[in-house]
Amino acid sequence: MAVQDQLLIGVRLYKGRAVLSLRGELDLASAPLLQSEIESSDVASASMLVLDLQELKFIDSTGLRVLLTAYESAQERGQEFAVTQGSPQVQRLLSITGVGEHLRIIAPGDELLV
Amino acid sequence: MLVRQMLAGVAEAVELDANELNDISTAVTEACNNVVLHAYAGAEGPLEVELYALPGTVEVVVRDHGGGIPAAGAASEQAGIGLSVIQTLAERSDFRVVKDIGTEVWMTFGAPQARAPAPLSDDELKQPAPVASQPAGSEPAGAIEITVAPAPLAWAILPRLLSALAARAHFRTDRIADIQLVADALTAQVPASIRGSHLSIGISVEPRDLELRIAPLLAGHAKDLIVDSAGGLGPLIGKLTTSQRVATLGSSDDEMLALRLHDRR
Repeated sequence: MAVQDQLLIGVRLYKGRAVLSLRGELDLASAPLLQSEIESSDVASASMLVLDLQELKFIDSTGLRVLLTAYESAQERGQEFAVTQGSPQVQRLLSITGVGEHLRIIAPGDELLV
Repeated sequence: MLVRQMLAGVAEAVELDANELNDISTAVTEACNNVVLHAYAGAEGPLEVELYALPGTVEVVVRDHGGGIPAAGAASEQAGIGLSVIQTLAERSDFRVVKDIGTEVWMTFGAPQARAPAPLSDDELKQPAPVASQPAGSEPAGAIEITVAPAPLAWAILPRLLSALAARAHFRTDRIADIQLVADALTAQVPASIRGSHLSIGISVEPRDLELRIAPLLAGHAKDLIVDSAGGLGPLIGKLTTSQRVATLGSSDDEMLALRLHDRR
């Protein structure tokens, strides 16, 4: 578990999947924290990376950049990648920037989160 | 981020709905990111935010004393995304280079249900914002200057802002409670001392140390607030703040009250 002011990241590794649960705000101050979690060897070597955004209240373009980088790195590694829907603010930014169209968005109760 | 704390306070005061607040917070965050990332070439510098609440409209100006927009425009794809987010979410937006000052992002947000907490005439809106509580260019690095109109909006944001700042400055919990008392006392006493429709709040944060500056106040009022008078905050302020300072602003008689709060340990 890593904490940076308003961002809390929970990491679960299960059956080759890495599930990162984000709680709080992903912004200029906290984006580097997520970046380093995603680059950690446990997460990078998983066959699938899931970012659980259900508890993410706020994201800005620097946070969005980290999501996109994670998606691109996953593609390069041949790693599956998915996110859950975030708060209305998160959904809105994903939508107006078009980033949401590129991502596989799974339901809150999806078995991939277990 | 502090500015989002401020906007949440404003949203309560003017009754913005959640979606309106989200859009304003997102756009204003991008404008502030732009200042932090591009205005001062990696160094720290002042950030100024002006906020005007009118019936049905919220206007926000984010200003730096460096080279925010031109540098950002050329600098990175990241800045480009931020600017396009601002343009998408604001009803109107404008990016201006102000000679000898810096760069400004003006944003207007339609908020049909928003009400102003006090009437603000067109004339008042057109009057220039008050002199910043520090002479231009001399703000401490990393200082934030927030100007709001109408002035009562300041009371919606001050308690939230101070609590967030104290936490960021790593104050202990009991000291944060003291700061909350200072904010409440100011909220109760300062309104009678405000000159005009605008109020500026200046903030500088260091580890376990923060300074709060409030201006413009009517001549003589800043001193009255901190001495032990009937309407003054003297005993409370004296006990809870580390130092108090009164300064006259420029050539006017207007005053600034500066309070320094320190967490000794």
